[in-house]
Amino acid sequence: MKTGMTISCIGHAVALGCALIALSAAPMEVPPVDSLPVQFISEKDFTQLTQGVKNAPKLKIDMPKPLADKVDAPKAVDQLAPKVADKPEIKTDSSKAAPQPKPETKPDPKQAQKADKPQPPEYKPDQIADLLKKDAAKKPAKPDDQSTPQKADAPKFDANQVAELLDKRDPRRQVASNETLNDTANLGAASGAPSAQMSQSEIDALRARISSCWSPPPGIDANSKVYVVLRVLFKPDGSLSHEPVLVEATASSLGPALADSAKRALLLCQPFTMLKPEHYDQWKDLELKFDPHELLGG
Amino acid sequence: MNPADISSSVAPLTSANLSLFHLFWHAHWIVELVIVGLLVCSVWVWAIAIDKTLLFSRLRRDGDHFEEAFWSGQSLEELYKSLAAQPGHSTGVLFVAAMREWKRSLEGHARSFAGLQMRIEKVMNVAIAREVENMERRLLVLATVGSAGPFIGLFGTVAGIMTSFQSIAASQNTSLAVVAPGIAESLFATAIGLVAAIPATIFYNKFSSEVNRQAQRLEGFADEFTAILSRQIDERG
Repeated sequence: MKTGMTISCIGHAVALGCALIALSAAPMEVPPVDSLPVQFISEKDFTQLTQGVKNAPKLKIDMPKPLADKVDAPKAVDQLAPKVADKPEIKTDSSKAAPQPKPETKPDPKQAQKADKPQPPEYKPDQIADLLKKDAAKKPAKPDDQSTPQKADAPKFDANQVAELLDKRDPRRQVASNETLNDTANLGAASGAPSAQMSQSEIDALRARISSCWSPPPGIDANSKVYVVLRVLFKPDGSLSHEPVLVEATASSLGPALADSAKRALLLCQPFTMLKPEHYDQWKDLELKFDPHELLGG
Repeated sequence: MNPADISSSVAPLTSANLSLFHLFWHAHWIVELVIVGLLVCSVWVWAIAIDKTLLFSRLRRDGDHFEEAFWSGQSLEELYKSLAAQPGHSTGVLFVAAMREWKRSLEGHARSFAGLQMRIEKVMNVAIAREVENMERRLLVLATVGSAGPFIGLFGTVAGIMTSFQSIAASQNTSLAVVAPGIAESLFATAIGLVAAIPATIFYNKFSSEVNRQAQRLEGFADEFTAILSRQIDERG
Protein backbone atom coordinates (compact mmCIF):
# COMPACT_ATOMS: atom_id res chain seq x y z
CA MET A 1 0.00 0.00 0.00
CA LYS A 2 2.90 2.35 0.73
CA THR A 3 4.22 2.37 -2.82
CA GLY A 4 0.74 2.96 -4.20
CA MET A 5 0.13 5.84 -1.81
CA THR A 6 3.49 7.45 -2.56
CA ILE A 7 3.04 7.20 -6.33
CA SER A 8 -0.51 8.49 -6.08
CA CYS A 9 0.49 11.48 -3.95
CA ILE A 10 3.34 12.39 -6.28
CA GLY A 11 1.10 11.99 -9.32
CA HIS A 12 -1.57 14.25 -7.89
CA ALA A 13 0.98 16.89 -6.90
CA VAL A 14 2.41 16.87 -10.42
CA ALA A 15 -1.07 17.03 -12.01
CA LEU A 16 -2.08 19.94 -9.78
CA GLY A 17 1.15 21.78 -10.56
CA CYS A 18 0.63 21.26 -14.28
CA ALA A 19 -2.95 22.49 -14.03
CA LEU A 20 -1.84 25.62 -12.17
CA ILE A 21 0.86 26.38 -14.71
CA ALA A 22 -1.31 25.62 -17.73
CA LEU A 23 -4.22 27.72 -16.51
CA SER A 24 -2.04 30.67 -15.58
CA ALA A 25 -0.07 30.49 -18.83
CA ALA A 26 -3.14 30.60 -21.05
CA PRO A 27 -4.92 33.83 -20.20
CA MET A 28 -8.65 33.38 -20.02
CA GLU A 29 -9.33 37.02 -20.79
CA VAL A 30 -12.53 37.82 -22.57
CA PRO A 31 -11.92 40.14 -25.53
CA PRO A 32 -13.90 43.33 -25.00
CA VAL A 33 -17.25 43.16 -26.71
CA ASP A 34 -17.41 45.44 -29.69
CA SER A 35 -20.81 46.75 -28.81
CA LEU A 36 -21.35 50.42 -28.20
CA PRO A 37 -22.91 51.29 -24.87
CA VAL A 38 -25.57 53.95 -25.14
CA GLN A 39 -27.26 55.45 -22.12
CA PHE A 40 -30.22 57.66 -21.65
CA ILE A 41 -29.13 60.37 -19.32
CA SER A 42 -30.10 63.76 -18.01
CA GLU A 43 -29.31 66.98 -19.84
CA LYS A 44 -26.57 67.98 -17.43
CA ASP A 45 -24.76 64.71 -17.83
CA PHE A 46 -25.36 64.87 -21.54
CA THR A 47 -23.50 68.14 -21.98
CA GLN A 48 -20.61 66.78 -19.96
CA LEU A 49 -20.58 63.68 -22.10
CA THR A 50 -20.50 65.61 -25.35
CA GLN A 51 -17.63 67.71 -24.09
CA GLY A 52 -15.77 64.66 -23.05
CA VAL A 53 -16.29 62.85 -26.31
CA LYS A 54 -15.41 65.85 -28.38
CA ASN A 55 -12.04 65.96 -26.71
CA ALA A 56 -11.33 62.32 -27.18
CA PRO A 57 -10.99 62.15 -30.98
CA LYS A 58 -8.93 65.35 -30.99
CA LEU A 59 -6.32 63.76 -28.83
CA LYS A 60 -6.17 60.86 -31.21
CA ILE A 61 -5.73 62.99 -34.28
CA ASP A 62 -3.02 65.09 -32.67
CA MET A 63 -0.91 62.13 -31.78
CA PRO A 64 -1.42 59.66 -34.57
CA LYS A 65 2.15 58.45 -34.69
CA PRO A 66 3.13 55.58 -32.48
CA LEU A 67 6.40 56.03 -30.64
CA ALA A 68 8.02 53.22 -32.58
CA ASP A 69 7.46 55.00 -35.87
CA LYS A 70 9.06 58.16 -34.54
CA VAL A 71 12.22 56.32 -33.67
CA ASP A 72 12.47 54.92 -37.16
CA ALA A 73 11.65 58.11 -39.04
CA PRO A 74 15.02 59.95 -38.79
CA LYS A 75 16.84 57.00 -40.23
CA ALA A 76 14.60 56.95 -43.24
CA VAL A 77 15.22 60.62 -43.97
CA ASP A 78 19.00 60.23 -43.73
CA GLN A 79 18.98 57.35 -46.09
CA LEU A 80 16.62 58.92 -48.57
CA ALA A 81 18.28 62.29 -48.96
CA PRO A 82 21.76 61.22 -50.06
CA LYS A 83 20.36 58.59 -52.41
CA VAL A 84 18.24 61.03 -54.33
CA ALA A 85 21.03 63.58 -54.41
CA ASP A 86 23.55 61.08 -55.71
CA LYS A 87 21.43 59.60 -58.43
CA PRO A 88 21.39 62.53 -60.85
CA GLU A 89 25.20 62.58 -60.99
CA ILE A 90 25.36 58.95 -61.84
CA LYS A 91 22.68 59.41 -64.46
CA THR A 92 24.45 62.17 -66.21
CA ASP A 93 27.52 59.99 -66.43
CA SER A 94 25.65 57.03 -67.79
CA SER A 95 23.38 59.06 -70.08
CA LYS A 96 26.41 60.33 -71.95
CA ALA A 97 27.02 56.80 -73.10
CA ALA A 98 23.67 55.74 -74.56
CA PRO A 99 20.47 57.80 -74.16
CA GLN A 100 21.95 61.27 -74.43
CA PRO A 101 22.83 61.35 -78.14
CA LYS A 102 19.21 61.18 -79.31
CA PRO A 103 17.91 64.11 -77.29
CA GLU A 104 20.93 66.16 -78.25
CA THR A 105 20.29 65.77 -81.94
CA LYS A 106 16.57 66.48 -81.71
CA PRO A 107 16.53 69.65 -79.64
CA ASP A 108 18.95 71.43 -81.95
CA PRO A 109 16.74 71.64 -85.04
CA LYS A 110 13.70 72.39 -82.95
CA GLN A 111 15.38 75.15 -81.09
CA ALA A 112 16.57 76.54 -84.36
CA GLN A 113 13.01 76.46 -85.65
CA LYS A 114 11.79 78.14 -82.53
CA ALA A 115 14.40 80.79 -82.93
CA ASP A 116 13.31 81.28 -86.51
CA LYS A 117 9.56 81.02 -86.09
CA PRO A 118 8.87 83.70 -83.52
CA GLN A 119 10.66 86.36 -85.47
CA PRO A 120 8.66 86.59 -88.75
CA PRO A 121 5.25 87.15 -87.19
CA GLU A 122 5.95 89.51 -84.41
CA TYR A 123 3.94 88.29 -81.51
CA LYS A 124 3.10 90.19 -78.46
CA PRO A 125 4.95 89.17 -75.30
CA ASP A 126 1.87 87.38 -73.98
CA GLN A 127 1.56 85.30 -77.08
CA ILE A 128 5.21 84.40 -76.90
CA ALA A 129 4.68 83.25 -73.40
CA ASP A 130 1.82 81.06 -74.60
CA LEU A 131 3.96 79.58 -77.31
CA LEU A 132 6.72 78.87 -74.86
CA LYS A 133 4.24 77.18 -72.66
CA LYS A 134 3.09 75.06 -75.56
CA ASP A 135 6.64 74.12 -76.36
CA ALA A 136 7.27 73.30 -72.79
CA ALA A 137 4.21 71.10 -72.86
CA LYS A 138 5.51 69.27 -75.90
CA LYS A 139 8.94 68.70 -74.51
CA PRO A 140 8.60 67.49 -70.97
CA ALA A 141 9.27 63.84 -71.66
CA LYS A 142 12.62 64.52 -73.25
CA PRO A 143 15.56 64.69 -70.88
CA ASP A 144 17.17 68.07 -71.33
CA ASP A 145 20.00 69.70 -69.53
CA GLN A 146 17.34 71.32 -67.40
CA SER A 147 16.32 67.94 -66.10
CA THR A 148 19.32 67.79 -63.78
CA PRO A 149 18.38 70.86 -61.78
CA GLN A 150 14.86 69.47 -61.49
CA LYS A 151 16.18 66.28 -60.03
CA ALA A 152 18.45 68.19 -57.73
CA ASP A 153 15.27 69.59 -56.21
CA ALA A 154 14.00 66.11 -55.56
CA PRO A 155 15.55 65.77 -52.09
CA LYS A 156 13.10 68.40 -50.93
CA PHE A 157 10.40 65.72 -51.06
CA ASP A 158 8.70 65.33 -47.80
CA ALA A 159 10.34 62.31 -46.23
CA ASN A 160 7.14 61.58 -44.37
CA GLN A 161 5.27 61.29 -47.64
CA VAL A 162 7.81 58.84 -48.96
CA ALA A 163 7.65 56.91 -45.74
CA GLU A 164 3.87 56.83 -46.01
CA LEU A 165 4.07 55.57 -49.59
CA LEU A 166 6.55 52.92 -48.61
CA ASP A 167 4.50 51.92 -45.63
CA LYS A 168 2.53 48.95 -46.91
CA ARG A 169 1.44 47.81 -43.48
CA ASP A 170 -2.09 46.84 -42.82
CA PRO A 171 -3.88 49.94 -41.50
CA ARG A 172 -5.35 47.89 -38.66
CA ARG A 173 -1.91 47.18 -37.37
CA GLN A 174 -1.14 50.85 -37.17
CA VAL A 175 -4.24 51.42 -35.14
CA ALA A 176 -3.21 48.67 -32.79
CA SER A 177 0.25 50.09 -32.31
CA ASN A 178 -1.31 53.46 -31.74
CA GLU A 179 -3.25 52.22 -28.80
CA THR A 180 -0.40 50.37 -27.23
CA LEU A 181 2.19 53.08 -27.60
CA ASN A 182 0.30 56.27 -26.97
CA ASP A 183 0.29 57.45 -23.41
CA THR A 184 -2.73 59.67 -23.82
CA ALA A 185 -5.85 58.47 -22.11
CA ASN A 186 -8.43 57.07 -24.46
CA LEU A 187 -11.97 58.10 -23.74
CA GLY A 188 -13.46 55.73 -26.27
CA ALA A 189 -14.87 52.29 -25.68
CA ALA A 190 -12.52 49.46 -24.79
CA SER A 191 -12.18 48.34 -28.40
CA GLY A 192 -11.30 51.76 -29.76
CA ALA A 193 -12.94 54.36 -31.89
CA PRO A 194 -16.65 53.52 -32.30
CA SER A 195 -18.10 55.63 -29.53
CA ALA A 196 -16.03 58.57 -30.57
CA GLN A 197 -17.11 58.31 -34.19
CA MET A 198 -20.82 57.90 -33.76
CA SER A 199 -22.07 61.44 -33.63
CA GLN A 200 -23.83 62.71 -30.54
CA SER A 201 -26.71 63.94 -32.65
CA GLU A 202 -27.35 60.38 -33.75
CA ILE A 203 -27.25 59.04 -30.22
CA ASP A 204 -29.43 61.90 -29.06
CA ALA A 205 -31.98 61.29 -31.80
CA LEU A 206 -32.07 57.59 -31.00
CA ARG A 207 -32.52 58.42 -27.34
CA ALA A 208 -35.39 60.80 -28.03
CA ARG A 209 -37.09 58.34 -30.35
CA ILE A 210 -36.93 55.44 -27.93
CA SER A 211 -38.03 57.46 -24.93
CA SER A 212 -41.03 58.71 -26.93
CA CYS A 213 -42.02 55.13 -27.79
CA TRP A 214 -41.44 53.76 -24.33
CA SER A 215 -44.33 53.52 -21.93
CA PRO A 216 -43.28 52.65 -18.40
CA PRO A 217 -44.95 49.51 -17.05
CA PRO A 218 -47.23 49.90 -14.02
CA GLY A 219 -45.31 50.12 -10.78
CA ILE A 220 -42.35 51.89 -12.31
CA ASP A 221 -41.95 55.61 -11.90
CA ALA A 222 -39.04 58.01 -11.91
CA ASN A 223 -38.08 57.07 -8.37
CA SER A 224 -37.88 53.31 -8.78
CA LYS A 225 -34.27 52.22 -8.71
CA VAL A 226 -34.34 49.64 -11.47
CA TYR A 227 -32.67 49.53 -14.82
CA VAL A 228 -32.04 47.07 -17.63
CA VAL A 229 -29.31 46.93 -20.23
CA LEU A 230 -30.32 45.46 -23.56
CA ARG A 231 -28.00 44.44 -26.35
CA VAL A 232 -29.54 45.34 -29.66
CA LEU A 233 -28.32 44.23 -33.08
CA PHE A 234 -29.43 46.34 -36.03
CA LYS A 235 -29.79 45.71 -39.74
CA PRO A 236 -28.30 48.29 -42.10
CA ASP A 237 -31.77 49.77 -42.73
CA GLY A 238 -32.10 50.61 -39.01
CA SER A 239 -34.50 47.82 -38.07
CA LEU A 240 -33.68 45.21 -35.46
CA SER A 241 -31.95 42.12 -36.81
CA HIS A 242 -33.43 40.05 -34.01
CA GLU A 243 -35.02 40.41 -30.64
CA PRO A 244 -33.03 42.47 -28.09
CA VAL A 245 -31.03 40.43 -25.59
CA LEU A 246 -31.02 41.19 -21.89
CA VAL A 247 -27.46 41.90 -20.76
CA GLU A 248 -27.83 43.24 -17.27
CA ALA A 249 -30.68 44.04 -14.94
CA THR A 250 -31.36 44.96 -11.37
CA ALA A 251 -32.50 42.10 -9.20
CA SER A 252 -36.03 43.25 -8.65
CA SER A 253 -39.52 41.96 -9.24
CA LEU A 254 -40.07 44.92 -11.56
CA GLY A 255 -37.06 43.93 -13.68
CA PRO A 256 -38.85 41.55 -16.09
CA ALA A 257 -41.66 44.02 -16.70
CA LEU A 258 -39.17 46.79 -17.40
CA ALA A 259 -37.18 44.55 -19.74
CA ASP A 260 -40.36 43.55 -21.57
CA SER A 261 -41.49 47.13 -21.96
CA ALA A 262 -38.06 48.17 -23.20
CA LYS A 263 -38.07 45.36 -25.77
CA ARG A 264 -41.56 46.34 -26.86
CA ALA A 265 -40.48 49.97 -27.27
CA LEU A 266 -37.54 48.92 -29.45
CA LEU A 267 -39.71 46.64 -31.60
CA LEU A 268 -42.40 49.30 -32.00
CA CYS A 269 -40.02 52.07 -32.96
CA GLN A 270 -38.05 50.30 -35.64
CA PRO A 271 -36.67 51.13 -38.11
CA PHE A 272 -34.45 53.76 -36.56
CA THR A 273 -33.84 55.89 -39.60
CA MET A 274 -31.83 58.48 -37.71
CA LEU A 275 -28.92 56.03 -37.66
CA LYS A 276 -26.88 56.77 -40.76
CA PRO A 277 -26.04 53.77 -42.92
CA GLU A 278 -22.49 55.03 -43.50
CA HIS A 279 -21.81 54.58 -39.79
CA TYR A 280 -23.39 51.14 -39.72
CA ASP A 281 -20.27 49.59 -38.24
CA GLN A 282 -20.67 51.76 -35.17
CA TRP A 283 -24.33 51.16 -34.43
CA LYS A 284 -24.90 47.64 -35.66
CA ASP A 285 -24.34 46.37 -32.12
CA LEU A 286 -25.49 48.66 -29.29
CA GLU A 287 -25.95 48.22 -25.58
CA LEU A 288 -28.85 50.36 -24.49
CA LYS A 289 -29.50 51.16 -20.84
CA PHE A 290 -33.09 51.81 -19.81
CA ASP A 291 -33.22 53.72 -16.57
CA PRO A 292 -36.66 55.13 -15.64
CA HIS A 293 -34.96 57.64 -13.40
CA GLU A 294 -33.35 59.23 -16.47
CA LEU A 295 -36.05 58.49 -19.04
CA LEU A 296 -38.91 59.92 -16.99
CA GLY A 297 -36.80 62.90 -15.99
CA GLY A 298 -36.82 62.23 -12.23
CA MET B 1 -21.51 58.10 -17.82
CA ASN B 2 -18.42 57.58 -19.89
CA PRO B 3 -18.46 54.44 -22.05
CA ALA B 4 -15.03 53.56 -20.66
CA ASP B 5 -16.54 53.37 -17.17
CA ILE B 6 -19.11 50.85 -18.32
CA SER B 7 -16.55 48.65 -19.96
CA SER B 8 -14.30 48.83 -16.90
CA SER B 9 -17.13 47.98 -14.55
CA VAL B 10 -18.04 44.88 -16.58
CA ALA B 11 -14.53 43.71 -17.36
CA PRO B 12 -12.94 42.44 -14.14
CA LEU B 13 -13.01 38.83 -15.36
CA THR B 14 -9.33 38.48 -16.03
CA SER B 15 -7.07 35.47 -15.99
CA ALA B 16 -5.89 36.29 -12.47
CA ASN B 17 -9.44 36.05 -11.15
CA LEU B 18 -10.03 32.65 -12.71
CA SER B 19 -6.82 30.92 -11.71
CA LEU B 20 -7.20 27.77 -9.64
CA PHE B 21 -5.69 29.32 -6.53
CA HIS B 22 -7.91 32.35 -6.71
CA LEU B 23 -10.98 30.19 -7.27
CA PHE B 24 -10.12 28.01 -4.31
CA TRP B 25 -9.20 30.68 -1.78
CA HIS B 26 -12.21 32.82 -2.55
CA ALA B 27 -14.70 29.98 -2.59
CA HIS B 28 -17.33 29.32 0.03
CA TRP B 29 -16.06 27.13 2.86
CA ILE B 30 -18.47 24.33 1.96
CA VAL B 31 -17.08 24.32 -1.56
CA GLU B 32 -13.54 24.28 -0.17
CA LEU B 33 -14.41 21.34 2.07
CA VAL B 34 -15.92 19.43 -0.84
CA ILE B 35 -12.92 20.10 -3.04
CA VAL B 36 -10.43 19.02 -0.37
CA GLY B 37 -12.45 15.90 0.40
CA LEU B 38 -12.66 14.94 -3.24
CA LEU B 39 -8.95 15.52 -3.69
CA VAL B 40 -8.21 13.17 -0.78
CA CYS B 41 -10.60 10.63 -2.32
CA SER B 42 -8.81 10.91 -5.63
CA VAL B 43 -5.41 10.35 -4.00
CA TRP B 44 -6.78 7.33 -2.11
CA VAL B 45 -8.40 5.88 -5.25
CA TRP B 46 -5.20 6.11 -7.24
CA ALA B 47 -3.20 4.64 -4.38
CA ILE B 48 -5.55 1.64 -4.28
CA ALA B 49 -5.48 1.33 -8.05
CA ILE B 50 -1.68 1.28 -8.18
CA ASP B 51 -1.55 -1.16 -5.30
CA LYS B 52 -4.07 -3.52 -6.91
CA THR B 53 -2.37 -3.36 -10.29
CA LEU B 54 0.90 -4.42 -8.68
CA LEU B 55 -0.86 -7.13 -6.65
CA PHE B 56 -2.65 -8.69 -9.63
CA SER B 57 0.36 -8.63 -11.89
CA ARG B 58 2.35 -10.37 -9.14
CA LEU B 59 -0.41 -12.94 -8.58
CA ARG B 60 -0.59 -13.75 -12.28
CA ARG B 61 3.18 -14.10 -12.60
CA ASP B 62 3.57 -16.25 -9.47
CA GLY B 63 0.56 -18.38 -10.43
CA ASP B 64 2.13 -19.07 -13.82
CA HIS B 65 5.42 -20.05 -12.20
CA PHE B 66 3.70 -22.33 -9.70
CA GLU B 67 1.59 -24.14 -12.29
CA GLU B 68 4.67 -24.64 -14.40
CA ALA B 69 6.41 -26.26 -11.43
CA PHE B 70 3.29 -28.23 -10.47
CA TRP B 71 2.84 -29.82 -13.89
CA SER B 72 6.57 -30.34 -14.49
CA GLY B 73 6.44 -33.83 -12.96
CA GLN B 74 8.25 -32.74 -9.81
CA SER B 75 7.31 -34.75 -6.72
CA LEU B 76 4.48 -33.06 -4.80
CA GLU B 77 6.32 -33.72 -1.53
CA GLU B 78 9.32 -31.69 -2.70
CA LEU B 79 7.11 -28.91 -3.95
CA TYR B 80 5.33 -28.87 -0.61
CA LYS B 81 8.60 -28.71 1.26
CA SER B 82 9.85 -25.79 -0.84
CA LEU B 83 6.60 -23.88 -0.43
CA ALA B 84 5.43 -24.81 3.06
CA ALA B 85 7.36 -22.07 4.84
CA GLN B 86 6.30 -19.24 2.56
CA PRO B 87 3.62 -19.94 -0.03
CA GLY B 88 3.46 -16.26 -0.99
CA HIS B 89 0.79 -16.43 -3.69
CA SER B 90 -2.77 -17.64 -3.81
CA THR B 91 -2.34 -20.87 -5.82
CA GLY B 92 0.56 -21.83 -3.58
CA VAL B 93 -1.48 -21.13 -0.46
CA LEU B 94 -4.21 -23.39 -1.81
CA PHE B 95 -1.73 -26.17 -2.57
CA VAL B 96 -0.04 -25.92 0.82
CA ALA B 97 -3.39 -25.99 2.66
CA ALA B 98 -4.54 -29.12 0.80
CA MET B 99 -1.19 -30.88 1.23
CA ARG B 100 -1.09 -30.10 4.93
CA GLU B 101 -4.51 -31.68 5.41
CA TRP B 102 -3.41 -34.68 3.30
CA LYS B 103 -0.23 -35.23 5.28
CA ARG B 104 -1.95 -34.78 8.60
CA SER B 105 -4.49 -37.48 7.66
CA LEU B 106 -1.75 -39.85 6.47
CA GLU B 107 0.69 -39.32 9.36
CA GLY B 108 -1.92 -39.81 12.07
CA HIS B 109 -2.06 -43.02 14.01
CA ALA B 110 -5.37 -44.00 12.55
CA ARG B 111 -5.19 -43.58 8.84
CA SER B 112 -8.49 -41.84 8.25
CA PHE B 113 -9.20 -42.06 4.54
CA ALA B 114 -12.90 -41.87 5.12
CA GLY B 115 -13.97 -38.30 4.47
CA LEU B 116 -10.45 -37.17 3.59
CA GLN B 117 -11.54 -35.96 0.17
CA MET B 118 -14.34 -33.93 1.71
CA ARG B 119 -11.98 -32.41 4.24
CA ILE B 120 -9.50 -31.43 1.56
CA GLU B 121 -12.25 -29.77 -0.47
CA LYS B 122 -13.39 -27.83 2.56
CA VAL B 123 -9.89 -26.68 3.36
CA MET B 124 -9.37 -25.54 -0.21
CA ASN B 125 -12.69 -23.69 -0.30
CA VAL B 126 -11.75 -21.82 2.84
CA ALA B 127 -8.36 -20.96 1.33
CA ILE B 128 -10.02 -19.71 -1.87
CA ALA B 129 -12.48 -17.57 0.10
CA ARG B 130 -9.64 -16.06 2.11
CA GLU B 131 -7.60 -15.29 -1.00
CA VAL B 132 -10.56 -13.71 -2.81
CA GLU B 133 -11.33 -11.61 0.22
CA ASN B 134 -7.74 -10.44 0.26
CA MET B 135 -7.97 -9.51 -3.43
CA GLU B 136 -11.27 -7.68 -2.97
CA ARG B 137 -10.11 -5.64 -0.01
CA ARG B 138 -10.46 -1.85 -0.59
CA LEU B 139 -12.28 -2.36 -3.86
CA LEU B 140 -15.36 -1.12 -2.05
CA VAL B 141 -13.66 2.26 -1.64
CA LEU B 142 -13.38 2.51 -5.43
CA ALA B 143 -17.04 1.62 -5.85
CA THR B 144 -18.10 4.17 -3.24
CA VAL B 145 -16.02 7.01 -4.66
CA GLY B 146 -17.15 6.12 -8.17
CA SER B 147 -20.81 6.35 -7.29
CA ALA B 148 -20.75 9.10 -4.66
CA GLY B 149 -18.04 11.38 -6.14
CA PRO B 150 -20.33 13.13 -8.64
CA PHE B 151 -22.93 13.69 -5.93
CA ILE B 152 -20.38 15.20 -3.58
CA GLY B 153 -19.23 17.44 -6.42
CA LEU B 154 -22.84 18.37 -7.06
CA PHE B 155 -23.19 19.37 -3.43
CA GLY B 156 -20.31 21.79 -3.91
CA THR B 157 -22.04 23.03 -7.06
CA VAL B 158 -25.20 23.81 -5.15
CA ALA B 159 -23.22 25.73 -2.55
CA GLY B 160 -21.45 27.69 -5.30
CA ILE B 161 -24.72 28.56 -7.02
CA MET B 162 -26.07 29.75 -3.69
CA THR B 163 -23.03 32.03 -3.44
CA SER B 164 -23.94 33.40 -6.86
CA PHE B 165 -27.46 34.18 -5.79
CA GLN B 166 -26.25 35.78 -2.58
CA SER B 167 -23.94 38.06 -4.54
CA ILE B 168 -26.84 38.97 -6.82
CA ALA B 169 -28.90 39.87 -3.78
CA ALA B 170 -26.02 41.83 -2.27
CA SER B 171 -25.23 43.89 -5.37
CA GLN B 172 -28.78 44.19 -6.75
CA ASN B 173 -27.33 43.38 -10.13
CA THR B 174 -27.26 40.41 -12.50
CA SER B 175 -24.29 41.22 -14.68
CA LEU B 176 -21.75 38.56 -15.58
CA ALA B 177 -19.12 39.97 -13.22
CA VAL B 178 -21.41 39.46 -10.25
CA VAL B 179 -22.54 35.94 -11.12
CA ALA B 180 -19.39 34.49 -12.66
CA PRO B 181 -17.23 33.82 -9.55
CA GLY B 182 -19.91 31.73 -7.85
CA ILE B 183 -20.64 29.76 -11.01
CA ALA B 184 -16.94 29.23 -11.63
CA GLU B 185 -16.36 27.76 -8.17
CA SER B 186 -19.43 25.57 -8.45
CA LEU B 187 -18.34 24.21 -11.81
CA PHE B 188 -14.91 23.64 -10.33
CA ALA B 189 -16.46 21.49 -7.61
CA THR B 190 -18.35 19.45 -10.22
CA ALA B 191 -15.18 19.00 -12.23
CA ILE B 192 -13.23 17.73 -9.22
CA GLY B 193 -16.05 15.33 -8.40
CA LEU B 194 -15.89 13.88 -11.90
CA VAL B 195 -12.09 13.76 -11.81
CA ALA B 196 -12.28 11.63 -8.67
CA ALA B 197 -15.22 9.48 -9.76
CA ILE B 198 -14.33 8.54 -13.34
CA PRO B 199 -11.02 6.75 -12.58
CA ALA B 200 -12.61 5.13 -9.53
CA THR B 201 -15.42 3.61 -11.63
CA ILE B 202 -13.05 2.45 -14.36
CA PHE B 203 -10.65 0.87 -11.87
CA TYR B 204 -13.47 -0.76 -9.94
CA ASN B 205 -14.79 -2.46 -13.08
CA LYS B 206 -11.32 -3.53 -14.12
CA PHE B 207 -10.34 -4.96 -10.75
CA SER B 208 -13.64 -6.68 -10.00
CA SER B 209 -13.38 -8.56 -13.30
CA GLU B 210 -9.77 -9.33 -12.45
CA VAL B 211 -10.83 -10.74 -9.06
CA ASN B 212 -13.40 -12.95 -10.81
CA ARG B 213 -10.79 -14.25 -13.21
CA GLN B 214 -8.37 -15.03 -10.38
CA ALA B 215 -11.10 -16.77 -8.35
CA GLN B 216 -12.01 -18.93 -11.34
CA ARG B 217 -8.41 -19.84 -11.84
CA LEU B 218 -8.11 -20.86 -8.16
CA GLU B 219 -11.27 -22.94 -8.36
CA GLY B 220 -10.07 -24.67 -11.49
CA PHE B 221 -6.79 -25.54 -9.78
CA ALA B 222 -8.64 -26.74 -6.67
CA ASP B 223 -10.80 -29.08 -8.77
CA GLU B 224 -7.81 -30.49 -10.59
CA PHE B 225 -5.85 -31.00 -7.39
CA THR B 226 -8.82 -32.64 -5.67
CA ALA B 227 -9.12 -35.02 -8.61
CA ILE B 228 -5.45 -35.97 -8.29
CA LEU B 229 -5.68 -36.48 -4.54
CA SER B 230 -8.90 -38.52 -4.74
CA ARG B 231 -7.19 -40.81 -7.27
CA GLN B 232 -4.38 -41.30 -4.76
CA ILE B 233 -6.85 -41.99 -1.98
CA ASP B 234 -8.67 -44.59 -4.05
CA GLU B 235 -5.36 -46.26 -4.98
CA ARG B 236 -4.25 -46.45 -1.32
CA GLY B 237 -7.65 -47.30 0.08
